[in-house]
Amino acid sequence: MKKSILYKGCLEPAILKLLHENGRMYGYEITQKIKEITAGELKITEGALYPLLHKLEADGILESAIENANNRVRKYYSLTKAGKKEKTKVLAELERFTNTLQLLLHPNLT
Amino acid sequence: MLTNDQIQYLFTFCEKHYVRYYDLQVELVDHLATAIEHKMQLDTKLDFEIALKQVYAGFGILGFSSIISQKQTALQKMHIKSFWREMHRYCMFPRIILTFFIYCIIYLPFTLNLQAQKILLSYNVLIALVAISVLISSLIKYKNPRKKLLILDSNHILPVTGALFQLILQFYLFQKFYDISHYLQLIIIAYTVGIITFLALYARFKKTYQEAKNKYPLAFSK
Repeated sequence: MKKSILYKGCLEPAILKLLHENGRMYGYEITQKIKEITAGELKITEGALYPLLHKLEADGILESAIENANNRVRKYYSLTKAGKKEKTKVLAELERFTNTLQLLLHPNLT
Repeated sequence: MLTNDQIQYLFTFCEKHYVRYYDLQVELVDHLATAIEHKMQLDTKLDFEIALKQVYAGFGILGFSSIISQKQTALQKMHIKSFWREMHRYCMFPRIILTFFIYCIIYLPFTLNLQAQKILLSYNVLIALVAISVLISSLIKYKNPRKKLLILDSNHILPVTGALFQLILQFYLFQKFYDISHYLQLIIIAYTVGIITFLALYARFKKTYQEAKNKYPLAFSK
């Protein structure tokens, strides 16, 4: 099975967690941070990242601010109040999922 | 750091790849520019255009097109949510008082000794006049930005005032098949809902325009 299919559902929790820890980030920064933390194991494509950021912004989970950066403008994303609640919920769901997966993969250890 | 000419080249690159909206262009240009700068830092001999080709390849076979279409979908959903949130406010305290007041104002002439048909005709004329004046004043006050913005593309004043003309049209269609004297309460409620719908759409239109102007002042500057 392709690795990308396994990681697809983890993109949203990963982005929400990063934004919670870093306050605000821009698109390219998010891709690089995830690549750095996972030692290159997980590479988010721009085709996956930006639609998700736009969807989360439209849903009120993220908000954005435009600022000048060098000789261009940059869009920074951060969590809204609703986004902080969503982050907690989504990470708890992911943890439950990984625990369930553990039961399936290593039943003898439980 | 990329030069101003190279940044402008990236804007043109986005235009050529069908990203016509400024709000989407700024985000993609910044991404392309930062990624190119990073690549050129790691390989100082790397040519700008080759670096751009490599970075653009990271957007996949579809390039920017899926980003554009998914952003349009996300914005439409956002506008609909925002509209229903406004409508909901008119059903809750304190705005429900205004809703009730509008209902009473519409209902009042029917308690006097006046012909229902003539009252409703006057309402339709008044609504048409209000719709036209709102449309003209909005086109003057809320001018289109110099650069197209995707957030405003699905937020035009025409559908907002169109809601009022819809109200008039629905009334004329209704009276073609039904005797309005038997459905007065329903008609009064329909007019109340129609006016509240217009107010909610107009509030959403103004809010979105102001947000766009605050976020992208360069798109509005002459």
